[in-house]
Amino acid sequence: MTALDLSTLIPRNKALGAFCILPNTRYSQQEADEKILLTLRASPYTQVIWVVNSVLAFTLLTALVVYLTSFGNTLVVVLSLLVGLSLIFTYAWYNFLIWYYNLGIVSTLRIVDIDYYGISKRVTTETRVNKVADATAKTSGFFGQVFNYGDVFVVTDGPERNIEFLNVPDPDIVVSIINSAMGASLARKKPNA
Amino acid sequence: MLSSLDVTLTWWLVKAFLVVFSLMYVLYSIVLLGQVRSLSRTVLTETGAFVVAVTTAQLVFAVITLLIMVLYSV
Repeated sequence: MTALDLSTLIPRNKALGAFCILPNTRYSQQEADEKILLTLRASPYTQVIWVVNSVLAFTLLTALVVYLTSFGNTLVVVLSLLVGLSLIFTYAWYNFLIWYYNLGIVSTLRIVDIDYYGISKRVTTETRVNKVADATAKTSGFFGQVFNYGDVFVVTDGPERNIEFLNVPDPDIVVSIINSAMGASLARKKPNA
Repeated sequence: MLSSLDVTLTWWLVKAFLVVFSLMYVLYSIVLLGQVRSLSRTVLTETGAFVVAVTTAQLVFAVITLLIMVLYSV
């Protein structure tokens, strides 16, 4: 994978915020000389199922409310509406949050993978760019090929945990940017080379 | 044929379910809001405030739902 010149990167936000180059984002442990190059989330195409489920459930709830209204019992209608809306909104918002906070960050100094599994579990994996041994992109499946999303695997030296960004848009570009960050990190280490 | 005792018991169970359901919804919303606020402090994005606001609105909705369920049940 060819490395990009980091100085030529242009701020870009595509795929509903799933792929942002030079985003207006800050990380809590970000250092003064550190610049975030890329933030990643799963491709919006992988989120279609819960969106469709939510719309279908809302349509069914509307039909149920219309049906119950015909009996003239307002209390039952209001209670059904409250319970139905609670369930649908909880389902949709929960899935949105899981998508929104499953975030990958590539900066000039580190690579961070935040895995949010809902209210009970959150895992943050972080490695320094100079500890990265290899970055690989893998696109597979019909939809992955058509909509250009796939997995990025970042292998680190030593005992540090490897990092995975799953179903991210443009995995090839992600690997190029990681390679560029690695190159820039090496150049900082050996200024005379 | 349902007796009046069966009907009363069924309504009591329905009301108890609705109160417990809405109470769990409030607890869930509180925990979720705590997590979202923590995550929005970890990663500061432009849309983070919006996400916290919607999660807060969910908590308000959950509290209103609980109040309605409790008022209906007593």
